[in-house]
Amino acid sequence: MKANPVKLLQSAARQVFGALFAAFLASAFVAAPAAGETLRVYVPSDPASIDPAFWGTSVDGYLMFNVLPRLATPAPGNEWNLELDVAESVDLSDPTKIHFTLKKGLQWANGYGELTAEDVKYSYERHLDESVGSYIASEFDALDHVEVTGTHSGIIHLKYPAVPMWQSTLGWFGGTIISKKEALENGGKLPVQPKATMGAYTFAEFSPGERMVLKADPNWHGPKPYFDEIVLIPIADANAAEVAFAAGELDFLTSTATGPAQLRDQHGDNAKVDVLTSVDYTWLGLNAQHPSLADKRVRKAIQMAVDVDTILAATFEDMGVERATGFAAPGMVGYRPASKVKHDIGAAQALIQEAGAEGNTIELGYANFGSRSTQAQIIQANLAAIGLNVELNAMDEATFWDVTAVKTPDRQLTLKGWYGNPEAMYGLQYFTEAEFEGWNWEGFDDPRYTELMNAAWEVADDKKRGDMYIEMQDIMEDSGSFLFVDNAPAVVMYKSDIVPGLLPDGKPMFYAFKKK
Amino acid sequence: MSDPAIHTQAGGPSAKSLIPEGLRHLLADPMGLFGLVLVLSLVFLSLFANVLAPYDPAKIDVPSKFLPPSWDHLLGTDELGRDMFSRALYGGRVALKVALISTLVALAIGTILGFLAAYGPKWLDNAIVLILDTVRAYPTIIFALAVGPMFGAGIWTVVGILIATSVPYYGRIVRTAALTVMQSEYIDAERAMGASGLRITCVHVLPNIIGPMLIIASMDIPVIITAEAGLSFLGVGIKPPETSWGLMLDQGYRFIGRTPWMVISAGIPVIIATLGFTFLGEALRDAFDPKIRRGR
Amino acid sequence: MLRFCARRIAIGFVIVVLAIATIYVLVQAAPGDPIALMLGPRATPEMIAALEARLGLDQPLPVQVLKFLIGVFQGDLGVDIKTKRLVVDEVLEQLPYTLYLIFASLLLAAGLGIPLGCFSALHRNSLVDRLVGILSVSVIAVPPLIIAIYGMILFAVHLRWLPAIGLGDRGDLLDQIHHLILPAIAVGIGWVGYLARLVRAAMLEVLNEDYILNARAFGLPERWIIFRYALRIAVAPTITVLGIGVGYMLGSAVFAEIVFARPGIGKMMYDAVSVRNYPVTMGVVLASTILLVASTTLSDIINAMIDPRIREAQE
Repeated sequence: MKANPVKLLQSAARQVFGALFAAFLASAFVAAPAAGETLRVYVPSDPASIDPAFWGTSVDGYLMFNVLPRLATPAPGNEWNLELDVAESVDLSDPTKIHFTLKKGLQWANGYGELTAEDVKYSYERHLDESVGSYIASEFDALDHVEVTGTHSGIIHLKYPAVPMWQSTLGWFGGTIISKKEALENGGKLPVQPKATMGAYTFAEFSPGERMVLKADPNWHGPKPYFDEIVLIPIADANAAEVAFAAGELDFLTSTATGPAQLRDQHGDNAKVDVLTSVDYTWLGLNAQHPSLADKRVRKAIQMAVDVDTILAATFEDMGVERATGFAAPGMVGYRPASKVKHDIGAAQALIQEAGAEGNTIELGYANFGSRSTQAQIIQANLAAIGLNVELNAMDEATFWDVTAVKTPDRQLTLKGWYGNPEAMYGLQYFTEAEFEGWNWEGFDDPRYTELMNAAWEVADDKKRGDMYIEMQDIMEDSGSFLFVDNAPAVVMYKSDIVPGLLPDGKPMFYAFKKK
Repeated sequence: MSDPAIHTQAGGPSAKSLIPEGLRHLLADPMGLFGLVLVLSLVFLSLFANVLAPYDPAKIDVPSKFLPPSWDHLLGTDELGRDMFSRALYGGRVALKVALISTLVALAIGTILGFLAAYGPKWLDNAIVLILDTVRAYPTIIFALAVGPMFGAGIWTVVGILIATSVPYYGRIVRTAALTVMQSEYIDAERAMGASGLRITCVHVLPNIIGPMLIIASMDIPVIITAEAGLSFLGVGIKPPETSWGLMLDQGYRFIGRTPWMVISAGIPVIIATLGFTFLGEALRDAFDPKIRRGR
Repeated sequence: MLRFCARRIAIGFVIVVLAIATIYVLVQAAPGDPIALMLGPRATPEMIAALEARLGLDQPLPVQVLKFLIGVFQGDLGVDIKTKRLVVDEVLEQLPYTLYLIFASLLLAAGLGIPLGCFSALHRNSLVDRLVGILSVSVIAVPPLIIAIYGMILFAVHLRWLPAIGLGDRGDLLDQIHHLILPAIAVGIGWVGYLARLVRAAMLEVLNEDYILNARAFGLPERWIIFRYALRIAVAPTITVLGIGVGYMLGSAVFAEIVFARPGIGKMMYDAVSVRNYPVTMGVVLASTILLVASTTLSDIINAMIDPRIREAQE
């Protein structure tokens, strides 16, 4: 043994490396190369849940629109437009009874049977079931019950005429229909990757942190989509995604990390960059229920101290983005022409001193991606100027939106953006006491606001309803709990040979993507 | 990487007489001189950051964001228009503070443990070695990621983690060195004459190993600086509004698609520091370690 | 020899057990209570009690540690809080990606470092030797994180020679190798420098040994001497060093995986920490500790095979 250590060593090394190399080769060849066209899409994170009752991240939103059905669903194009999805007909003429008939013979993927009115009933009513604990129960406040009148037909009974509901809930994420059978198999909740999908695509593969693959579902009732395969690649950071795009590893991405002019410069003819006005809104929420922000003077001071114009300049450069005024984007019913908050450091400082809050430390939570952390740092600097220490708490998107991971009453300052909906009620309806443990991270509760909201549900006249929304947003801002920042436009970039199918705000509908 | 062994020779030339000769060697070595210059300028720039920084490192100036390096902004500006050079100077303070404190404290603890192991009873030796080896079993970054968030991000968490992961390294070396010295005939003679263990340690062993240990520690500084930058990059280190090189790297990386300058600039101070300290450390070792010098 | 191996392996085993027990205790005893982190500060006492009971945290610490260790031996690392999947499965899924990266880095280090060191030794004090010397020190000094980022800017963003992110196509080995190049350089380049220096020093020593001088005197061809004798002896210590290197490369792999958005246990750990997914954290600590201890133990044993003096000293 002592005679030839080198040889022994060599054989040992050979064996170890050999084994490693064999493993390497083996794993590389396990999966066969995919045939057909593939679209590679950047997403900011893995999906958290695509169950409409528990969704949270933007990826969840993409997936819900692409693999699960609704009675009617937003159509790709430049204008907001609902088109029938699995419904053959819907009758909206009675304000408290929505009649629907489903298309016949629609099959859930993976043998979960035919879509029936029972699925619709289950999907809607579960949001009202306290034992389910739906995160979006507020959206179904108006729902009384769903009456099944036949295998393929039913009536949605509302407690009161809820005019905006068709647009803001049923034709949106909330109205997503799931397979009752699969949900019951899983204790009343969809698994992370449901088998019973219905749409142009279904799940094929999921490696957390690496990629998620959607495959065209041969059973889909609609036309066969152009791309056989959609690969969603999670990259925590929009900038890194831009690098990957530049290196040719992505075909489509939504990003606000770099201004569109510069993206066009960088990519020339290789890529197309579109800027879409969105109905999304970003705001700084100040939790009135939290001890550190319970004093309205402190909230008011923060509103005045934060330099929104600087935030806009830092985030959107030359895109000419205007300050948001509330939850209704320009052009929508209820758009508020101007914010009443004036940037005034001196007055803010005086208020802080009056409240005796100088030197206090406040936490600012946000989902960690490029422009958010830029915005958060500006807020941190602005508030330092009036004597408040801000502790930044950057979370990944999934944690930030997870109301079980971070309890709503523990949130202090939150800088966040919500997916908007062409109907402003979609966002406004969440600011009630009932949502103190849910999405009302501002701890906002105002009797006049609630009164207006309840009344607005029943107002069919857009002008009248819009005026009510405007007053509601005035109340929000005046409470000191909301500082509206922007209606971030969506910047999408894609390879020039691709024709994307997008909703007016840039959300991808993969079935409508094509290649030139 | 693997433990460097200290070649101590009890009764050999004392550390004192080596210093002038060593210095001469150091100054004659171009790389060592280069390292020394880098390190000295770094220390100078960081120490006087408040005087030398051309801008307030926290001053937000959005219109001049993402500027490439120029005479006005030597390292360009970041996404908020803050001057990267000024931030780098203040970041240098943090880096040096972390490096100095963690290295010295780890060295002290390591030396004590090493001596305890070398001179203590066999069971204590075994126990200490086992503990040191246990702590060495964690890759530093993995250990930091596991433990760091429990203590909250911040400079003292970083220092604590770096001390914990450096102590075993020093402890092991000191133990081996002390054992070697103890086994030399010279010490045997002393002991035969009735000298106590403590006396032997203080008079003969400590002076013999303290020099080489300081050299080893100086070679460890770039490792510590790297680790601090890495931890801050990962979000378990320094947090804003404080500045650190690792944070600057993190920010730069976030905007790598927008402009490469931010992250390139953020890397420069780290490169200067690690290169400077490494060159200097290598030269110090060559200059002061008699064994290696003789080998040349 | 067998006794030595058994002893080293036993010590390695004890160290792994101690190491994970320590981390367990540290995480439990740290000011940030994992339960509070998992549930949020507003958790009701009932919720805390229920979760503690579920995780066995209501028992005395030594019992908990013991239970945890028993679980580990049975391959039970608990359940991922986010995905509800078994942590063991997840770690074993991600581990190979990290191992490929480390393996590629080792290949790079050996494939470049040994020839460079050899060349330097044979052309001592030449310009190339000096250049290699300076470069070696430099690449050892510069952090892998910086090399990863600069490499990405230069080769992926600017020159567009190499891909920036991900693993590459599943079925396409060449594409996967293509994706490995930059991360492997980031992790391995420092070791190229380290090996080059090591081999150079070892070669210089060997070339001065009597039997090499004798061989020369006998007129054996120089090339034959170098490859048949000198290199073989000089390379031996490098294998030991590479064994130790595996452990260190694990740390660098964390950065390479994050920068290049590659899956692997480093990225897994990073993601788990940011969402406070503490069973996953423990799983990765365990895997990386085993890897590090195994690689150092192996290199100790190899070392002892080569040099019996070490064996005697340690026994």
